[in-house]
Amino acid sequence: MSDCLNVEIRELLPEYLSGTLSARRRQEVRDHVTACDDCARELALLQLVREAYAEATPAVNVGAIVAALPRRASRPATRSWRHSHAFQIAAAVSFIALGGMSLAVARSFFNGNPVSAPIDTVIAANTTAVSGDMPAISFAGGVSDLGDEDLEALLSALESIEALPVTEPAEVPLSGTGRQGS
Amino acid sequence: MVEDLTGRDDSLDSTLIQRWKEGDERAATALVERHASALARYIGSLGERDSAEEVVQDTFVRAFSSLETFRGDSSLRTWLFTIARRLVVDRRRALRRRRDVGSLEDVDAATEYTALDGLIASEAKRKVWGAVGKLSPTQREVFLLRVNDGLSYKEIAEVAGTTEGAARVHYHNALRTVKENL
Repeated sequence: MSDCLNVEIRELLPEYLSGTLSARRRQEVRDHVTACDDCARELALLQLVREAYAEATPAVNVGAIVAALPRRASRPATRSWRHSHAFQIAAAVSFIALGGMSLAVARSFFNGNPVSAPIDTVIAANTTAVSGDMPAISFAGGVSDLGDEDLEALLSALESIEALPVTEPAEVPLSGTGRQGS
Repeated sequence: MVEDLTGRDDSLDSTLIQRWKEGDERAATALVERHASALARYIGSLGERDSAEEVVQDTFVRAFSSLETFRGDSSLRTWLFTIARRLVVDRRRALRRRRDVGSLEDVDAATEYTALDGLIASEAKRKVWGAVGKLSPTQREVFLLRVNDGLSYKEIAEVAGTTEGAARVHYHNALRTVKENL
């Protein structure tokens, strides 16, 4: 038995027999097989294999199998929202995010520097923290917008702040004055 | 039910699974009826004819236990075949520990297929059966998944734990060998 050179059609023969081809592809195969002896013989051989195995298929008792299946009715038809995957994932993400935020806030509180904050913001925060002793300054537009007096005030404020962060966390201040140099 | 219960209509499987999830127990019966014979035939082709019904039942029990999580990435039949194959491998492994039983690759095809000759009524089918029986276990598995069930090479690769390319080569080598042995 020789093989047809039309590999594309030969590849479709099993699907043709299984009835899984689209109507258009099915017609293509049918037209080709009608005109090609090699493919007609190959198709007949594959059909013979299917029939032989269908005859020798071990018997199964569908009723017994169904009786052994886990009962669907024993489970709730709809799962509680608290047990849904979406809720569990959202809860986990929220928990991690809140934990991270808490850690960041705690670090900035103990070190006196908000985590990842821009330098202007850091300066503003520290300046605000010492504002009880120093003249109030405001530089919402950034350091470059400050006048001479404001800059002097800012430099005085900075001098009163310890430049290097301590490695051990300082005592948590009980009053709202913020952290000052120790 | 007017549908072809044994055909490979994936959308019908999806509908039945949805109905079963909604509490329709008859959908479970329909699903078993659709796939039980194909599973038994496949398990038989792996050399487990005597335990085919038991493995089919175990396959469905396992599948229905996790049907809630079946996402439909592959067809239901492919998924069932994958479970069945794993069960056969596990059974072989368990038996091998107790006594000397071969793996999937060690099945004595000649003995198995000679013993089943009597099941096939026609001479032509018996010859085809014998020719398929001379294939290597891997070639036979791939060939029969393609011819009997119309599985694509991608689906065969998924079931048999190989690649699409290897499945294609096994199929064509098997087909050539069967033709030569007729």
